[in-house]
Amino acid sequence: MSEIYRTPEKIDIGTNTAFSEDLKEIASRGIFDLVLDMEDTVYISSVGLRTILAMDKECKKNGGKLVIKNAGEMVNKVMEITGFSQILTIV
Amino acid sequence: MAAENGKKSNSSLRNEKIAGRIITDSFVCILLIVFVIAFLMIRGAGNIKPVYLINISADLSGMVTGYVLYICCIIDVSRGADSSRYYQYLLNVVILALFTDAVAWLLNGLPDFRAANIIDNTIYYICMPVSCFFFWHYIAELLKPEEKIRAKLDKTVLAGMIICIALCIINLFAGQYFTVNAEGEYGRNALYPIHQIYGFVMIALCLWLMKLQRRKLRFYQLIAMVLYLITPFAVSVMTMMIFGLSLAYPVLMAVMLLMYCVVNVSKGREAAAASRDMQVAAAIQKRMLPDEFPAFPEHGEFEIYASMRPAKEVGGDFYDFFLVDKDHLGLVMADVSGKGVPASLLMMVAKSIIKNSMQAGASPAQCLSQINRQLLERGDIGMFITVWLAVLNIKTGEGIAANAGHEHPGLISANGEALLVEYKHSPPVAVMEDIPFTEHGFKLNKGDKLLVYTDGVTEAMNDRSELFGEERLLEVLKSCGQLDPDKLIGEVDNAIAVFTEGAEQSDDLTMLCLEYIGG
Repeated sequence: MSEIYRTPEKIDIGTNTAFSEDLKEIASRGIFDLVLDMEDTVYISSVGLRTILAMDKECKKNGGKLVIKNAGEMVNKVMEITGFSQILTIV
Repeated sequence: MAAENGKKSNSSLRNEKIAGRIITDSFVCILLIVFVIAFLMIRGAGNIKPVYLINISADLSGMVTGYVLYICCIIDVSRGADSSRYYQYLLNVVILALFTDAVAWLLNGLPDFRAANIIDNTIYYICMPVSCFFFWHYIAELLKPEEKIRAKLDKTVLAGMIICIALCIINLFAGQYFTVNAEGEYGRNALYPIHQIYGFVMIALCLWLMKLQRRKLRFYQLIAMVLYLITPFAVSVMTMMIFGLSLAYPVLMAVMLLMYCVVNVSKGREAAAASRDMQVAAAIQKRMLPDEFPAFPEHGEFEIYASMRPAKEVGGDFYDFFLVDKDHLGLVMADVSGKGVPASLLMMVAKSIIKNSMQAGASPAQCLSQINRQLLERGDIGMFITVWLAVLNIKTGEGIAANAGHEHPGLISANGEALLVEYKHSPPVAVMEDIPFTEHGFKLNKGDKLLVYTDGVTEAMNDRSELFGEERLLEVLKSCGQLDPDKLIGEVDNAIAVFTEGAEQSDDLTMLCLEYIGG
């Protein structure tokens, strides 16, 4: 039972509220096996990373898993520099 | 279950969905209202009994109220507040009842419209059990009786509603409740009271449940609910003397308005209390940060300045600086995830742990390991902290820094060059136990400046949804690099203010600048 969520083009302070609401809504349905398809995302800021990390924690806490796939160059670089790549599952 | 959306992202889809709902619902509601008014004009107000006219106008105003309430509910949901879906269903049913009631009075006595009159009245009759059904779910959701009782009662209530609706349909052939004669006149029949039994039973059931769970209701909520239950009867009794006056549903709509207000008033009070807590938290948080400058007038080796401009809501940013011993200065810039009182509580704990462990002689990486362990030793707290911290030897300019997922520090050399120092970070603190934190050495030359900040700076946003960004920050550092730390921070603040053009500040703006003068 895993759900795939397509992340928006930009995840920054402007779009983060909606993004975070969407993830919360998924969690509220009891789904903690989540695949974030980041193909569309060309920019992610630290607030966006925080949202993903918070969801990752929520998933793990409930025995699930958050997986990031199709991350582009920018997203990968940011994950690498900020140390998030050591915590999140990126395939 | 794999649910993949098309090319559009889910959040924009959701906004479109809400806008779409408002447009379609408005269209339907306004169409119904216009239909009644048009019909009234065609029939001519003069040809209708005055008492019917009273009913029709009461129905119309009820429909308008219901429409406005319904839009309010949708907007509440789009703003992230919760609105009971059963309340919304109930609103729709009452609007439909008002509509069919108005139409029934308009059609009465028109032989050509006998069939329409019968269908309209049947729908009107069906509205009663359906509204009872939704009201039951609405208060059951609010009062949360025991699961077992609820499941049993839900089934009974549903069965009752189905029987009621079936009887209304049988009435089309048997005419046990009402008939419309050849002249198009509506008339009640002997078995009409049977139709009311379900309503009575439901009222008794709801009152019983409210009595059982009354502690879960506030006084004014209780009043609104009881009013809802007894209104139809009170109104019927009051208007008994005037033949043909039927105001039950319009008054019911007024009570629904009251219920909506009651719910929102109590939410408003809770919000006010929360905002008071928030202000106190923000004040305490501000007092935790060192804000007397010059901070170390006895030390000519460096100059330091820091500022935090808090956003409306209390956040988890903090900075700190302190002498570890007579030669070493500790510097901290951190951001706790999330907002509000939880974030500010964690911020205060984190700040103390960092300062204590550094003053006890821990290196930056050891310090991060310690705080990580301490925060996680009783289980996951569901929050995390990005931290940049450093120990600087103020005699030599040499230092050790560690970065746990925090923004890149800016470095302005004495000759005016500026850059953001990028390197691989350690993960944020309080995410996972036993992760290694790395540190690295650096050296400041005389006249070098170091600027550390939180994401409120680079993510300051203007009305066109553009971010201030690292590029603009670098430009300011290049053009104002010669200024003293306090002026430099002031310039960055100004540049952000100019860039955002008065758009509401959504995150704390926190900066710390150190100029190394040398010993």
